[in-house]
Amino acid sequence: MSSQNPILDDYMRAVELQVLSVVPKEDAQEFLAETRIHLQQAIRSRVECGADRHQATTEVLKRYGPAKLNADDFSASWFQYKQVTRLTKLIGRANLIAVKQFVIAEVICLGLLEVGMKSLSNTNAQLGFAICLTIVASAVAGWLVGQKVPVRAVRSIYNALVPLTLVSFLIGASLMPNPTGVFFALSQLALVLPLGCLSAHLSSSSIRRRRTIQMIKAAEAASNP
Amino acid sequence: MSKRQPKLPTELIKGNTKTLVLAILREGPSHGYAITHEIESRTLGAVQFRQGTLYPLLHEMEREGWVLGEWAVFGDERPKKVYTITPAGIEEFERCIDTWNRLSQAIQSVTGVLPHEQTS
Repeated sequence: MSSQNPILDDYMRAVELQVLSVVPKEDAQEFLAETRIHLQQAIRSRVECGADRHQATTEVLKRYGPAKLNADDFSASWFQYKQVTRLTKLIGRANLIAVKQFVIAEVICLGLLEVGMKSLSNTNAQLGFAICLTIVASAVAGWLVGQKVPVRAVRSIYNALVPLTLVSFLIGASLMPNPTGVFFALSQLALVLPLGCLSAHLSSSSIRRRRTIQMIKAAEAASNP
Repeated sequence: MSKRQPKLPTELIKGNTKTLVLAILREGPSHGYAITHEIESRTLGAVQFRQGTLYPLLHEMEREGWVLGEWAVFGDERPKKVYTITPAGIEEFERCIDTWNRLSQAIQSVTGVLPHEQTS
């Protein structure tokens, strides 16, 4: 749908690409149509008050907010309501996915650490093994969250890991003077959180970029049969 | 003509956008642009939220069953999606108002200042 307003068309194209990299077209159509109508109305009312069309469009788009932010607001809301249960309503679907992935990763990690510590006698080797395992587990868990939560995956990991780290600290503190629990909580804070977030960001960005490229190619193929 | 009010901080408005939207819809069906316009004009510009947040919110409210959205045509204009509040939406609005009243009373009981009073 073109409005003979190139600035508005560019903005809407940016919103559309961002939204459709997450949400199926049939679910996004109403949102895109409403957004366009809203913006056209806002521009028209400013023009009727005497503003220049270009200036009116720029002002309206500024008030409306960045295309990516608006697209992500809608995509995040769509994702949350795609599968609603009591639990997802309570803590958020994306947060729940992140909690599940990281709890599974940590349980596997602890199991492997247990085996590794028994088979390695050297303390340095044990420490190296523990750090490597934590890095790999965080990266894999973060990547999986990014694949399942294509919008604001980093935020969901942060929301999931902060309470998990606090629980680890509390358990660790109660186990003192044995420092293992506190070390585990510190590793969550210093390694798991940043690596998980980075990996999720890369993963969700790559999946969205791939979908966007596919869409652009499909649109090009349709316009040049 | 009433004087325009200074804009309120976004973080204060964020949690209350739903209440404002439900309040407007309680008075009759409306579409997105009219809802934002109405909120801004009634608050004399004090409430200005990022307009892009409205549609995700309206769609969320539709999924929750608080509002019903239907496309309608007005004269020669393009079709617009008109939202109507449902009985569940009215209940939600009353819950929001109750929460707001309790918060307002709690703040008053600590500060001793009524909303229309000034501290200095």
